[in-house]
Amino acid sequence: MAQKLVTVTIAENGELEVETSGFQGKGCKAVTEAFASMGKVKSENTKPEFYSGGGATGTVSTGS
Amino acid sequence: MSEYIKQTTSINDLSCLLQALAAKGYGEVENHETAQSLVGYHGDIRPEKAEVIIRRKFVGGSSNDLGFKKDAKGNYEFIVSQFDKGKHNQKWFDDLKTEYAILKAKKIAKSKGYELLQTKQKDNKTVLTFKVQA
Repeated sequence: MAQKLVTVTIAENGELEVETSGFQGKGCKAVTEAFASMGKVKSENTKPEFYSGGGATGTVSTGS
Repeated sequence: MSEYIKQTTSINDLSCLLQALAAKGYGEVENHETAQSLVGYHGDIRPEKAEVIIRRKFVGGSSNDLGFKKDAKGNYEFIVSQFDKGKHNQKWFDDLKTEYAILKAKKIAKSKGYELLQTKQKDNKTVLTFKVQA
């Protein structure tokens, strides 16, 4: 089973991007939403695997 | 008299803001339940008010107070005089927001039980990697 990881990338202006890997189903969405509370969500992408219930990778970017 | 400028932020966590300010060299910060008046260079009471205040004696010679005022959404608005924008320019403000974001991300991760595996710098960005327990 893949390790579940969350990568938070913080830019020089404080904006951040959250990327998840190793999740299945809605798990990654819950993780990214936790960090999305840090600012306005600019965009959110969930790969097709999310809908099939397979492994998923998602990203969410927030403004500062 | 140097006019005050207001800059909106998404900063809404007081403890992380105070830690970020301390990291920027401002350890002496007033934190009020109710917004208090900012004071200008001449000791003049200004109409601008803030809950978090850095008094001018800690800012620099000829400076005015700096403030962070909570808005209706609970985010802090940065209040800085035109004069003090020289030192507290966009670079300073971005550095503060970056410091805040790092602290806040670690705080959220800790509250969720995520384990910090790695902190690294990449392309002038700070990258935090957390392990989520199964």
